[in-house]
Amino acid sequence: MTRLLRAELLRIRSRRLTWVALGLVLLVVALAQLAVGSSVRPVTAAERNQAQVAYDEAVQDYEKNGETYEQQCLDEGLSAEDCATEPPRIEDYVPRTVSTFAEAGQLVVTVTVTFAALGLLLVAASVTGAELSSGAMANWLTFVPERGRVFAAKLLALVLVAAVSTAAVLALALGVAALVARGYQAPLTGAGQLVAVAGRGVLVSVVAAAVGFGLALITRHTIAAAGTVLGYLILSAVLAVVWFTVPALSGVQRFLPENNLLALLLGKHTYYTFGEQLQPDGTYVDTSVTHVISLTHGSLYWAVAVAVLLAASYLVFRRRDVN
Amino acid sequence: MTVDAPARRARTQGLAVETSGLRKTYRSRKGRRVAVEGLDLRVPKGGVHGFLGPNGSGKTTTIRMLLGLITADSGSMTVFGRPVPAELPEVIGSIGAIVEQPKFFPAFSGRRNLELLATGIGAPRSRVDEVLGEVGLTGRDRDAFRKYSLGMKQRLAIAATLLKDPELLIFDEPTNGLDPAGIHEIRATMRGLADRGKTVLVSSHILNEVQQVADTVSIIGRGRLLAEGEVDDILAAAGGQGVRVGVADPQRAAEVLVRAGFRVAPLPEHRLDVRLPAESGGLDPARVTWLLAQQGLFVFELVQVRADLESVFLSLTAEEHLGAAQPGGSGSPPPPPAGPARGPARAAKEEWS
Repeated sequence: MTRLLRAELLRIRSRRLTWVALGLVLLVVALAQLAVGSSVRPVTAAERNQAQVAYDEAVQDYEKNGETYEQQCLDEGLSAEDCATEPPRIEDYVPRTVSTFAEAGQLVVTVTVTFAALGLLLVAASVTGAELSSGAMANWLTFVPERGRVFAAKLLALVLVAAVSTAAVLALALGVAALVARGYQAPLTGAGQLVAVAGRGVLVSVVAAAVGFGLALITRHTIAAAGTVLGYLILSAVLAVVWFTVPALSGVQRFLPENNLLALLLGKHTYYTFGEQLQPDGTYVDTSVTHVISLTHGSLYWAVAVAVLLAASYLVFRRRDVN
Repeated sequence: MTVDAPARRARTQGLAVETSGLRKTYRSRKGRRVAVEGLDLRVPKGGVHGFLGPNGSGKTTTIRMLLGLITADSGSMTVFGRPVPAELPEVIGSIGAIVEQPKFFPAFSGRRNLELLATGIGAPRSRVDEVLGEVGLTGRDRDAFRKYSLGMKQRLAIAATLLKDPELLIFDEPTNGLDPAGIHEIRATMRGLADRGKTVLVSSHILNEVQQVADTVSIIGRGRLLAEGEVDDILAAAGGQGVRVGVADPQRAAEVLVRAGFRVAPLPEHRLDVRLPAESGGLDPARVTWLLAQQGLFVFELVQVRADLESVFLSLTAEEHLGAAQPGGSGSPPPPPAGPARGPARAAKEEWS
């Protein structure tokens, strides 16, 4: 088994797509650091002064013309409630809000894991699909005919690559983000929580690699496997409209893959079931409900989904004629 | 047409490959298609064994079943006495195989492709250098596989099979697409392996090529065994050598020769094809001219004709070719004959007076 695993790791390492995907993820990590820098950077004195000037002008305008504006609004037939104006607030004139390290770090982890998972899904599908479509699998099986061992070695190699590469990239991403935050004197708060999210991010990448592997093994082609995922993402966008227009169906969201993946990554995921109730006076009351998918639900969902997919792909691989 | 050479060799050396009642069907939109129908194949240990049959006769399917790439519907197979696919993992180290075209990762170099296989089976990296040297690819080993010529791809495939230092080498149509030099090279490689004591099972539909290198052959058609044995025995059984006779009155000449025990078939332009039944031993051309001259029939042409594997093959597979030319000809095979000898023997009776 060790020999097979080494061979699979050598093959993954030898593929150009592996390094292209890693390069793209590192580029995303670098871009995410720019976002970290701008979000944790404190508001400068110049920005504060500029905000103060703008705020003062707004206050002056409000004091001088506020009543006139309100009257003009009423003259146009709008209600007093609609035309009521409030005095300006200084926080509305500050150019941006400053994020904590925990907030910026979570953004970095989420973006990194998203791209890493997509990259690993593609790498796994490509590694598997290329071997089947090129016929190299038949050649391989004339050297190692035990399909169970072959299947296990391929899966294990992809899982190892996914786990190690994602962990390394996340460590790099969070390490650089911490340095950037430190550079702006931002306190490194919430590091423990970030490590937990990053740990679950590794799991998400492993899930993505397993899904790419399983789909490619069943469909036999990289494009078919990637197309299945892409097709689902398009369907998902369509479904978002369906939940809104047909509220009765929105309960299905609890079982959507992406929602459970977010719950697995972030610890929970919130979604809404939309609703309106007609009142006797002809108005509608919002009856929308907020739902939460727990970490446990998300974890179990993906554990079952991956187990079913891998079992199906193994059965197909074991029984299929290889050309 | 069964010559008992495989049995003879098997008794002394054992069998490298044996199949019994092997059957495989494929499902398609048009229904079930029989690829291999009750095939009994015997490949003796040592030497080159030609596995012959027209395209679509079941050669590759049989090889795939032997290698566990596809599952047989029924029947049994053994390799070096071990049942496969059940015990294939135990004997796979003794088998090197190229099925149809060499299949490697096109973007990887020849060397990297071999390194992957060597890593998988635990062969040392030095073995990769050795086999690359053996097939003459050392200078091009770092080129991408997709840039190789057909001959180089075939040589890389042979190098891959040699990584294991196997006892049985299976080459499926190894010279497809090769130029004459490449064909000669592959032929020499196969002969060389056999001379080193290996068993080479080579499937092909290029008969002259196999005749030059094979010690024994099996001929199949529509998934059934039609003939098997040593090449020389098969040629002798098929009529061995004969003569083409040119004579002014071919009809009278034919009567004279048939009375004398020859088999005679008419040819165009006052010519006859004259042969002796296989059991009668060699044909003496001088006896033909003497018999005819005694009856006042004087020969104006006498040419020795040797049977070759191609003519035997065409004779044995004629039914298949005719079937393929007719509507529905590629469907299910006709009812199997009682034994491999019946088909060709019957054909010979109808053809010869």
